[in-house]
Amino acid sequence: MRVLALLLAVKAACVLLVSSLTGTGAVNNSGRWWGIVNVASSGNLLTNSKNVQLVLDPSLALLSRRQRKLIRQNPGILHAIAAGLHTAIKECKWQFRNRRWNCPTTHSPNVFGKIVNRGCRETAFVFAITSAGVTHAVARSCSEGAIESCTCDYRRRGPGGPDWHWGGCSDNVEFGRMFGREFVDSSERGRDLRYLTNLHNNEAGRMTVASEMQQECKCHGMSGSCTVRTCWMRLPSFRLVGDYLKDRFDGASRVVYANKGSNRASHRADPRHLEPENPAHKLPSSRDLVYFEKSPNFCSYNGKTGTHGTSGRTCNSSSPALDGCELLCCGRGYKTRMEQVTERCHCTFHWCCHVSCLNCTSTQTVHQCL
Amino acid sequence: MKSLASLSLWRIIILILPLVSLGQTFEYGWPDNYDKPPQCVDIPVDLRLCQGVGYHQMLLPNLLEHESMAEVKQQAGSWVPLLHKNCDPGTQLLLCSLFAPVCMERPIYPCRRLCENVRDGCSPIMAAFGFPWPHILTCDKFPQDDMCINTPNDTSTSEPNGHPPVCPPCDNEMKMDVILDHMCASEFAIKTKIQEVKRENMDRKVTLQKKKRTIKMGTLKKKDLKKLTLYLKNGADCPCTQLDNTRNTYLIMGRKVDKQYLLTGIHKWDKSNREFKKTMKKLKSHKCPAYENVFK
Repeated sequence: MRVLALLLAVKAACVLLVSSLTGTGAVNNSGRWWGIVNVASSGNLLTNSKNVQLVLDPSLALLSRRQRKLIRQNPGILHAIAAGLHTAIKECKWQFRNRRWNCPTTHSPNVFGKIVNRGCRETAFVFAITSAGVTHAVARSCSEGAIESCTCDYRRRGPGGPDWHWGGCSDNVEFGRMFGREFVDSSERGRDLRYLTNLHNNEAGRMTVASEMQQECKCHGMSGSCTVRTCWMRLPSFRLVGDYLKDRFDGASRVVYANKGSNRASHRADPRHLEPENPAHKLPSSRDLVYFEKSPNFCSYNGKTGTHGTSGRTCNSSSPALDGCELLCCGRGYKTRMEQVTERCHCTFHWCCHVSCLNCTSTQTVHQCL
Repeated sequence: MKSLASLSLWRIIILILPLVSLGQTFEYGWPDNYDKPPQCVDIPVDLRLCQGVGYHQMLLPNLLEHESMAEVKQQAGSWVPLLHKNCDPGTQLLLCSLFAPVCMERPIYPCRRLCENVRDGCSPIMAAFGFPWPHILTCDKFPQDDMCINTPNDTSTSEPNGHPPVCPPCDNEMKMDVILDHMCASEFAIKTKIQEVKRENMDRKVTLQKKKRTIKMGTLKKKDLKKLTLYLKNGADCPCTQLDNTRNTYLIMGRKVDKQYLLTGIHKWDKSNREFKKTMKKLKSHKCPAYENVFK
């Protein structure tokens, strides 16, 4: 009789546990807002800001209440957010163009697919690059006067050095960062490891944009001389941001939840703390990417994990690197075919003003993974 | 100084990047650096450097990274007097291909040969005004293939005439536009008489009479004005009829380079000349493109 009662209790506990896990998955809003990039692209972004708001209204369903409020408070900013996402996606595809995981996206609201629900390296990059994209685009839009609630960064004025002065329009990266944090991080919920790593990687993206700002100067004295020089702070090109984050991806740190939580007082005092899984490694800095889960095998299609596989990918048969056929095709082999390519060549500029070119046909060898 | 060098390098990198793509397979479209693509705009009437260049629309920002039309006008203004010197037939074409580039699907740069011809023909004259050949026009960075802008009829070769060339600051047409362009390109302008002219190394030293009236103060200070001495740069041996005649009153323009004041223009103050009178009247309302407005 006692044994029976004990068994029933254990079973009940298991049922509760399973139910809890399922519930956690159902309420995950992480990265949901990225879907506006697909809704936005179907609308006409060239219309005025009022029409943009109307056209994009269905996309607001993808945003949290906090995000919708932020958009209402900053007229014109939704356009920048959508543009920033678009740029981030392009950059992600560029940075991973030769890898097994090549940043595949869909046209559904679930832009990056199931990768956002994982905690692997690729997830870290996606969160960082999208956060950076928003920060960059918002800061740029401030300078262009497209967002009513912000302007250039006018804190820089007056003499800057012995032979130059501040002027022009310094990109407002602080507003971009501040808004980015408010907007992007508000879609995260919970207190678990996924929550902490997402926040960390979002911040890494923003920090990269801010720290890569560079001073740019113009000489506008007589005949282009440098007797008069004006300088301002300029956003980095987004390619630079992507290159930097890709380096961070390659050197990402695997983290675990800090184990100090066993003590109640300590847990309350420092609830958000990540530390490296390997105690010998240093703590990740605020610009490092972090992950907590091993990456899946991206070789073959897997509906469960959302991986597309490398079948059909173009590869380089003479490369020993990741883009080589041996590695990219995961040892499955590849097929070769000849492709005829016609390109414009021998172009000449004629005064004034047109360009004439010849058409050159060449045969290219294309290798594709089996 | 290291910071200046790195900034200069960065500017070079920016300028060179589009050229690198020129060397690659030809492809339409701007380099994908996520920046806003240039817009095609009409060449404004008051962009005097590029009037009559042969096309009517330009790209903004231009190929010198000038981002607003005000900036283009201000920077182009100091180049207009060089056009009047006719130092090379390709001068306007070279300058305008950068200041007001033609509207094409991709940027078209001037050919290196065009740049070298203009540089060789014009840099001695620019030196007379105290200007070295500027960094923004370094010829090495321009393309040498067919996808570039060259002088339309490249067969013409100018015959050297028998007369020694007139000193550039003295070689002026009595024309309102020319005088106003020179006025804008100079830092100061005064009305005065010449007291003494003396050779000094490669230059000619011009001492002015005490009695002066400032037409354009510019960077000049009152105490400097009192004992102003001007130098005709590299002008020891070239002819200058104005300096030979010390009885006349002159409109004299100049600018300061390091610690020297250089003569940039000298016109006879000829009240009986209708064009001169018209110019002096126009001068009161004429506004030069100012850089303060560019970076407000």
